[in-house]
Amino acid sequence: MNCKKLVGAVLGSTLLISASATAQDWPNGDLRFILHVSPGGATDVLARRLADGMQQITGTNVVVENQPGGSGARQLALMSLIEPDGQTIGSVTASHLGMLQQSEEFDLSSIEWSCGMVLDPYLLAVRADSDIQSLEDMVAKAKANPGGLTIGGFGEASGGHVAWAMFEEASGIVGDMNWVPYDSVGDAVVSALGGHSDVAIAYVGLVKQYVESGDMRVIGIQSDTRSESLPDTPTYAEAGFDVDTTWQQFRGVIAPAGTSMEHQQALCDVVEQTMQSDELMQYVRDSELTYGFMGPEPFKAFVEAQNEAAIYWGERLESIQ
Amino acid sequence: MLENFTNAFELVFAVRVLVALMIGVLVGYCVGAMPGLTSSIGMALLIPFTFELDAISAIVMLVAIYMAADYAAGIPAILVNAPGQPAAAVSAFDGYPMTLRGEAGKALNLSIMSSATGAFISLILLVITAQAMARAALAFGPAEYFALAVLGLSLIAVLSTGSTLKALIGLLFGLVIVTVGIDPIRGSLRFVVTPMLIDGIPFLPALIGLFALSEVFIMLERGNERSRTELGVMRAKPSLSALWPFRRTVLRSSFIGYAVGVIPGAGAAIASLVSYGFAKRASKPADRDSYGKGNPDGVVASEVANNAAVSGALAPLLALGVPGSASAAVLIGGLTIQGLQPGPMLFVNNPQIPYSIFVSLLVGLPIMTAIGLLGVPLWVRLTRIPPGAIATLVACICVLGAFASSNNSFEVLVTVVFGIIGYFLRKVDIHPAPIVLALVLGYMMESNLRRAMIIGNDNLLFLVSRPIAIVLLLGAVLVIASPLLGRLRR
Repeated sequence: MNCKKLVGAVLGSTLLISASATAQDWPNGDLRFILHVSPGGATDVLARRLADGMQQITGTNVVVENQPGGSGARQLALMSLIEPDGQTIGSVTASHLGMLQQSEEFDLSSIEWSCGMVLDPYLLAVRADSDIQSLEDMVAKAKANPGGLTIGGFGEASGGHVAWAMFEEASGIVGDMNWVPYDSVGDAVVSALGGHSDVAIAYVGLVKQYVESGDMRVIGIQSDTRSESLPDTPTYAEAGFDVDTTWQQFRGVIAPAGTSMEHQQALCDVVEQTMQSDELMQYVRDSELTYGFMGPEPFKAFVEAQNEAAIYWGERLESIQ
Repeated sequence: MLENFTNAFELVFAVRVLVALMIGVLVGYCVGAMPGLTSSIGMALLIPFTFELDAISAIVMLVAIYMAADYAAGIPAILVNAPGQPAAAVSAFDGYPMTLRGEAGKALNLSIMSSATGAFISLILLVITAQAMARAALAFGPAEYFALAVLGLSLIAVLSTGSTLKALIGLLFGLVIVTVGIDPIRGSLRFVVTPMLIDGIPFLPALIGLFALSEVFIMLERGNERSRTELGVMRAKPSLSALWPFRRTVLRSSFIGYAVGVIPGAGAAIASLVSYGFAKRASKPADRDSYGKGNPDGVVASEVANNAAVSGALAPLLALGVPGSASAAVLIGGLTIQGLQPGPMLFVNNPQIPYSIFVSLLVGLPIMTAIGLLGVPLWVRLTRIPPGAIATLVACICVLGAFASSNNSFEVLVTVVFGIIGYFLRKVDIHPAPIVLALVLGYMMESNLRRAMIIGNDNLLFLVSRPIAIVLLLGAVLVIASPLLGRLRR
């Protein structure tokens, strides 16, 4: 028993030494990049773009693997089994927070929050022929006829659901509109296009083309400034609703719990360099995302603040139902 | 439109585009023929390679994978009862019994001809109706999807061979299985004993187990009795005229496949099942019992429809930017990488993209058919391998395919468990068709019923307040009632 402990301690300390010694040599062989989404979506495409750029900078392979399931729970289950030697990283979005809240197995400390990449503000969109003309109009109609309007969005207690809860609270229509959860934000937008939801909560990149084609209108955006692509859409504040604008969808990179700070820093340097390449900057612009790189410490602080909001609003949502 | 087509022909007939097309076809062929690997996985694997390509080559390559994989998936389904993709499970219903009867060559030739014809007819439908059909598909909301799922499940009345009770048991078994996993509306966990089950029991590994691995056990039981493939069949000259006796099924299934494919989220597997059910219903009462026992009409119905569904899924993708299937979602990813946004503005801003896709499908079809037909004699030789050896081979493919579907050994476990379940179900004569039906439609039915209930403030009448939903539900009633009425008349 003692002997085993000793061996373990010796092994552990050698590992520690070698870890700090090789931080400059990171990455040490192929990198494994585990995504929590299925192939093809926006998160997947951005991650594959990132992997491609990192490959060019580091000269090592970045092997992308899709492990979708339970808003990232399956990905976390896998990552928790992997040795934190800096060679494995994962994708992360705001929907992980809702999952962590419901999970009995994982919490914020089950992973290292290494770096943030982009932000994406929420907005409310209606079909072009909808009689909802503005945020004020929607609020008035919801108050006049509780349960008569539906709002489509992604999942339950998701980032979008929390964003909606914030708006409901600020406008005094808590529970007056039926929240209909869809399997993706894209599905929710389609439901609004088809007239099955009166309003959809989505992102700029998902509705811009329908606004251009005259199929949709965006009545408000949860951001401090108007979107360049939607210059006619007022922010919530402009329309007279005081809603927390730091609550935005984010995408970033995570690593298994216990990955050394040196490795995370080295990783984030490469991620930042990749994000600032012409190709990725162009991609971020084309996809209507907001560039928002954050290194390990600022990202962790950002996520902790987001998590507090997620817990607070998650409980509020629970009590409404 | 004509101008767009001539431009697109010029674009596609460039050497690099044709090379991309060939690569796509070959990759699709391999991915499709390997149980466990789907076209969406194959496309996702090739996406990084498209970063350096021009937009047309990239899109042509991805579309070629999509189409080729779908048609190649029928090969292992027919040969060894191992569907290469979910939709091909339906092709196995009759294709595999044909192989057992020594008609593997005939079944394979038919499936390739059917695939090509179905893809061709629906491609024409796509070119003509893409915009209109995509708009029409938007009419499908929660109530309509629920009604569509009910209509699909009602096909059990037609699909089942023999005992209705046993078919119902199979259906219920399938529905119980789809309840495992995260609740689609409230997000609570149901029967999730390991985090691996959060998204439910993985569909493809379960299918591989139910169909292929259980067949391995049966093969082992049968012992070393040689298969009856005659070499003459292997040399049978394939010709389009072989499809002539099935012309009505081909036409009907093309339309069904295309229409179901257009509805986002419905997809090839549902298209195949619906088309198979209708083919059986339309046949002469005397022939109905031969479905599921090696009726070539069943193979034609399934293969025509699942290939027609591919073009169908392209309609909402190109016209609205809405992915109709997992593979279509990957295709959207591929397009955005090229700085293109599929959707209502694509036909206006970049008409060369949709038209190049149309043309590449047209050019790709004969290439795929040729590769397919050239491969048939080789594939048929597989059936000459002694059963003991082939059982080992198929078992290896099952395990490998299950692992490859997500790089995870948990999926292998699922395949083995379902292989054993499938074996016992066969022993008590429960056909896998109703189980597949439930696995494909269960989630759609549950999640949309509950969404409809939220929208309608918990009033069931909401379901019958919408015209399309009423028509589909009435259809379901008719499908269930007609065999009963027939029995009463007798």
